Amino acid sequence: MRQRNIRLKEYIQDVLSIKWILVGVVFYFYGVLLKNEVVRDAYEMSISFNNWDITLRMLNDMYLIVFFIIPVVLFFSTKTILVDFDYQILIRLGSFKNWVYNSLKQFWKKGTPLLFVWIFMSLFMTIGFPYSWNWSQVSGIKHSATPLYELINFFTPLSAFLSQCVLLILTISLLHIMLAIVYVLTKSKHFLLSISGLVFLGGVLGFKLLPKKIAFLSPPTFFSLTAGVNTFGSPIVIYLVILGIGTLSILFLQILDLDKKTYINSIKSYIPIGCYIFLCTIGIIYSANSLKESSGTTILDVWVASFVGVNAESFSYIPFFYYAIVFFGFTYLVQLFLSTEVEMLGYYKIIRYRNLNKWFWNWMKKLLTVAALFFFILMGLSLIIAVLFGMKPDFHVTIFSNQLYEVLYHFFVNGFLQIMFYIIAVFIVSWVSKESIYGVLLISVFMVLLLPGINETGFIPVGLNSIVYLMDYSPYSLTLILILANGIALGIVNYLFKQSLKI
Amino acid sequence: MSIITLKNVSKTYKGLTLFSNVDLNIDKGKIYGIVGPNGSGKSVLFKMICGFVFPDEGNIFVEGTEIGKRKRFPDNFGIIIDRPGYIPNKTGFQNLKELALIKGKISDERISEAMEIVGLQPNAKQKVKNYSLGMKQKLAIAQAFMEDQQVLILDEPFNALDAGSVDRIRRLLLSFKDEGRTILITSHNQEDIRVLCDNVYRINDTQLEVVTNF
Repeated sequence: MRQRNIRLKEYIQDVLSIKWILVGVVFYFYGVLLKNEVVRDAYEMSISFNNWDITLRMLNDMYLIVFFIIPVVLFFSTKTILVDFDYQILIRLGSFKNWVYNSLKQFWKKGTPLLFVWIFMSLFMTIGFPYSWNWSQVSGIKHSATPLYELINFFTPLSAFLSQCVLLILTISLLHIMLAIVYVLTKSKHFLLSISGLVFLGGVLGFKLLPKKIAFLSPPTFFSLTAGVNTFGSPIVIYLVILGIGTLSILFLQILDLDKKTYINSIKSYIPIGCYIFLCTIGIIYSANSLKESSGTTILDVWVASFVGVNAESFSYIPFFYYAIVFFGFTYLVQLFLSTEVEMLGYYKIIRYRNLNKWFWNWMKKLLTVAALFFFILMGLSLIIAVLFGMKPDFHVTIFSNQLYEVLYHFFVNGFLQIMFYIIAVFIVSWVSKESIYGVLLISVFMVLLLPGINETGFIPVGLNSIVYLMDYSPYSLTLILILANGIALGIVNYLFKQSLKI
Repeated sequence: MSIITLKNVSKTYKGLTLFSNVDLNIDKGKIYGIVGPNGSGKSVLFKMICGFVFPDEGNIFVEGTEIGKRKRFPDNFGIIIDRPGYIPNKTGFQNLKELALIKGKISDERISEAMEIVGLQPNAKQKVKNYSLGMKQKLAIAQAFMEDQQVLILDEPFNALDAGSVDRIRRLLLSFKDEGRTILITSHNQEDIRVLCDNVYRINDTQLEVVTNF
């Protein structure tokens, strides 16, 4: 009890210290300016005003937030972080996560007077104004700096006041947590100060220069309810954004103390897949974007345009490269898997599988299942992106003369057979050479075979799943060619397996 | 039984390879000395043991628990690493009180007692900003053991202490050893190491070498 009294006394002494009195003076003079503005507006238009006009304006004023509140918050936040990051404190807290929470506590110990003085002055400035629990007519006019009219549709004045206080606490806490995390990760004072400088500059430039569409990138948007409602169109969204980022920060804090080397190593193996998915998505977005201006295009048009591919007569670079990315990219990922599988194949494995064919089909079945799923994912992704681009949700193709069922058959059946051929071909090369580089060379040869004038007869089983082939070929004849090619490839695999057992 | 174990630890710090596949076992109830030239990695070794930095390779276990898996910083460690960041406008007692409040395990009397043991006056009104370097060092030592920490990691604890204080702190550390506490210490003064340590390791060419005739 005695200890609590001492701390309370210390806190009151702190609030009454010269620095907070000076802060109060700044609020007072700025408040007087805003007060005069409200009164002038009200008299010029002969409309009513009340206490909320000055209180809410002071708490939402962007100039005050950008040029005074944010710098002061950044100062206290960085100072708290730098002072509290002490090994003697850390060892007692047990983890960096606990340190971040402790730092937030220490920050609010120092920073609460700022909020207290700000709110107090916003209420103090109402002296001399008429008091009411309702919005005034001045609140309804479109004011340049603090458009309170944005709030009228969503709040009563009191709930707007309370919501603004809650928003400030959440936003300032989140800002401090993020700065503390940055410092734990970098342990660099200069980096922390640079980030703080960027937040301030982002605020100064952002609130004036950024258009409404991307105003969410400007930090002050999250300090003011009026700015938030103006940007997001609803007060709920601003809270959702803050709570969303806050939740992500808290989730990140759960892994802040882990030795991330092992996790980074496990993530590393997924980097090629991540890059691959990213490139696939970008290609579909490109197709959707290029069809956006055409009238009457459907969601299936985006899908066809994305996987149109090339043949000997109809060649252009973008479909060529996109085909290479999607299908040869997939084959390359399979190649990565195969090189490990072939290298790891020892006698212990062969003994367990009893013969090589059993071993081959054990992983081949899995790969073919993935390949089949892969085509459904590609189509699903195309349709989702097409919907997002506002294409008509009709199930017919306008940019191609073939029947829809033929296109679907070609995409799924011939696509599957083509991928199967690529996988077997890459496996043969891996098996014979035991060197992954030859698999990459084979993929390069496949790319050359797609170039114009080379596969004029359509008998070389490369790129036959391009939708553009439907212009000159029946999908069923292409199926026959691919079945034949796969049969020959499997025959070679069988031969190689028999040869390898003859020691 | 080993209270701290380093297995195949390698560490490069700011572009300099400090440790390469180092193994170390620290037994309970002994005083260990770590010696080596400036920049050889004594402080980094202590920071790794405390979990403040991770090794690039290898593992560190404290009381069987791997640092960075289920736990980040070990429990019950008293440390002096780098210069402690005191609050300059508060007294020595108030500074220790702030640290003690984090865990809330000890009374004001215990803080006063710890200050008196190292030769500081707990009731003095002198603020830390007016402390001499030696007084600040005594305050650092007091915070390291005031909560009865069982493992003390002390990086240059004798810095800036006068001869009388050095003697007092040496006796204190030896009494801690008799109580069964484990102490890791660095010092540039060979006499400190010779008087106090049961085992001495020298950091030489990214390895920890046992020093037999110190």
